[in-house]
Amino acid sequence: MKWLVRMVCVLLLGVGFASAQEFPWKVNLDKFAAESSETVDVTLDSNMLNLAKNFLSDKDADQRQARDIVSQLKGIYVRSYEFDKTGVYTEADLESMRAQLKSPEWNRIVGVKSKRDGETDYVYIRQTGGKMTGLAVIAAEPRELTLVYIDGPIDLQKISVLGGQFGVPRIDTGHAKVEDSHKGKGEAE
Amino acid sequence: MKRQLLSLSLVAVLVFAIAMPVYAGDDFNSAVDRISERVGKRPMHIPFLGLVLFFTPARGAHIKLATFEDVHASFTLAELESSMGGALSPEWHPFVKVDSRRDHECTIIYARASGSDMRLMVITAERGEVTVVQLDVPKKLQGSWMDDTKHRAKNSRHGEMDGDGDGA
Repeated sequence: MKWLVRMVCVLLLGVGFASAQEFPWKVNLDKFAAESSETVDVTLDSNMLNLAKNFLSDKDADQRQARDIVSQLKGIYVRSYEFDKTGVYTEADLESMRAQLKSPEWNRIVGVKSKRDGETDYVYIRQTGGKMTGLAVIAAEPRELTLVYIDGPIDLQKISVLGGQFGVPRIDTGHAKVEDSHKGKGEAE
Repeated sequence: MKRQLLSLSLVAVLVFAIAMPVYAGDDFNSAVDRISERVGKRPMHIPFLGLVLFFTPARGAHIKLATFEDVHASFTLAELESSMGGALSPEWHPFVKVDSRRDHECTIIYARASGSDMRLMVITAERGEVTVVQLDVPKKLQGSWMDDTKHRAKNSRHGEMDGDGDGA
């Protein structure tokens, strides 16, 4: 859950605030909310993103780049559900969400399944005209389900400037790593 | 006499012009009134709160606080949200909603622009208590927040933070 708090902080401070818009999935999220013991709902529309840009200074080069990233985003949406029991969501629910992120528009870049922890993580990117225009994350644990959707152009090279700011550790997002995840090495599917 | 009357009128017009937008835009009071109606009591009076806040770094944030204690009514997230529906102007965006059934607590964070600054309103309802906080986040304060987190990020990279990385 701590990573979620950090992510929310990043979204608020670094990437910004978005219009009540939908996830790329047509899923009845209310059923998860109804069964959850804790629900977190972050909706950052374009108005909020504009507002959050004010946090970022034009004078600092890194912040200026972060501001450029925020300026182009249309929205950021996070839904996280914690459950007191397992089995609230099923493999069929996850499969349904994954099936809706279809190629050629959507491509999975990360797929991790941990049998030990019962954790499943998927990261998808949407490409339009050769550019990355969206990112979706499905992170599922036995008692937790988190969905993240970032709508708008995202440059993985540029987004690395957020590292070292806003409490975000520096992250190496070199091309090699992205290519590796395409191949699905290591634990990835 | 004529000049005095003119000056007085001018002052009155200025005061009116300044006071009107403040009153018209005071969604904090609307939110507090709406909760008062729902819980059937007025917020607790906190003596010298303004004075105390003046001597803290938060004085630039223009904090307004209302706390309702010993509340018998309870709120679900949906009830809290619908209560605020007519109370707050459309400029307010509820961008974070947290509902903890485990702890019987729900929180909504609203934000809106206030000139070039940001104004936040945080409404939290838990068992027996409801709190409404409004604060402005001026550029200067935003800057200090940014500097602070930047500093924390550097510390994090050097492994100087605590185990969970949330910092002190």
